[in-house]
Amino acid sequence: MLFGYTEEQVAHFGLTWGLTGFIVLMLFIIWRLARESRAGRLGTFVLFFVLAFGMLGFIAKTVMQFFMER
Amino acid sequence: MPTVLDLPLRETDGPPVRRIGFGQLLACIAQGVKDVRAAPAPALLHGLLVAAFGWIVWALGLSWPWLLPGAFSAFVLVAPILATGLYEVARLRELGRRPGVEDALGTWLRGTRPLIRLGLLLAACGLAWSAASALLFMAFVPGLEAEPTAFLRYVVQGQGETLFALWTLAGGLGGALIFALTAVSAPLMLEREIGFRRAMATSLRAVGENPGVMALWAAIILAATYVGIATAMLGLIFIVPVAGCATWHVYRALVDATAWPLRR
Repeated sequence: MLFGYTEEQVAHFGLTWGLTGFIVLMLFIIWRLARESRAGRLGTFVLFFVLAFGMLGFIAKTVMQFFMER
Repeated sequence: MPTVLDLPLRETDGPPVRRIGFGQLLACIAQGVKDVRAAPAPALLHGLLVAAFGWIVWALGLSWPWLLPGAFSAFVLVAPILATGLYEVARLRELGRRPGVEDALGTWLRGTRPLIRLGLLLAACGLAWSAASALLFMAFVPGLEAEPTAFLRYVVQGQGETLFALWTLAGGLGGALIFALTAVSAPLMLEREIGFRRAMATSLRAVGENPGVMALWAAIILAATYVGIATAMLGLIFIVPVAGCATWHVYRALVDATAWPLRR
């Protein structure tokens, strides 16, 4: 027990909020870089990239699921 | 007939960049295939080295499974610097020469300062990503030490939905950032006397002017890398050299750096 929370609760808090904070930090870095380098539609690229990355990740996950559950 | 080199340029502080279409991206990839067929020895040597690196990471992963997810992601991050020899192969071919193994190795040994800085930055990002992923999986996936495939089972079989989504989002953002910074900066620094920061800013502008085409290019590289890894690294022997040489042609299509002096 830590400040009245179980280890599991602390771990869950660290995972979700820690990663979320990390994501926000990266968004801020990308925003600043895009402004400083006057990189036009860098935001559009980032959006496309994350979508493609997520889709490929999901496909890879589905393929692995198929092979592991057979 | 006008070629890609006649397209209008977008002027700013650094070398101007062009807008290109999807057709030109495909032409660059086709050019990469031609380069590999014309100079198989130096090209395939790079593919083989990367595949060997993959096998080592895999062997390590069997003993320390929590290293795996991060190590493979890190692998993609450090790739642009590993591909330096391939840019040289494509560059020499463009100049009408027949590049050999010694030309590719020469580029590695020459290692100009901005290229080394880029390599160090990429390696640092790769290490940070590996370490963060390893910590994440070690801390939150139960029974990971017991079984090498436990992390796959955890992520794949549904218990790790939130973890998977957040990891994908964080990885996607980091990957987009690294890709945008390095898409053309490594070949640019190899060819021209240009500073590290300016080369990176040029890369960001080139990607910002071509968000659709460059996102497709990134997706192609990512998907090809997955296929390479899924074929027990054997596919990487061919995929890495083609992607490396094509990156050179993408750089030539996107950036007009003629105002900057040639290196050497």
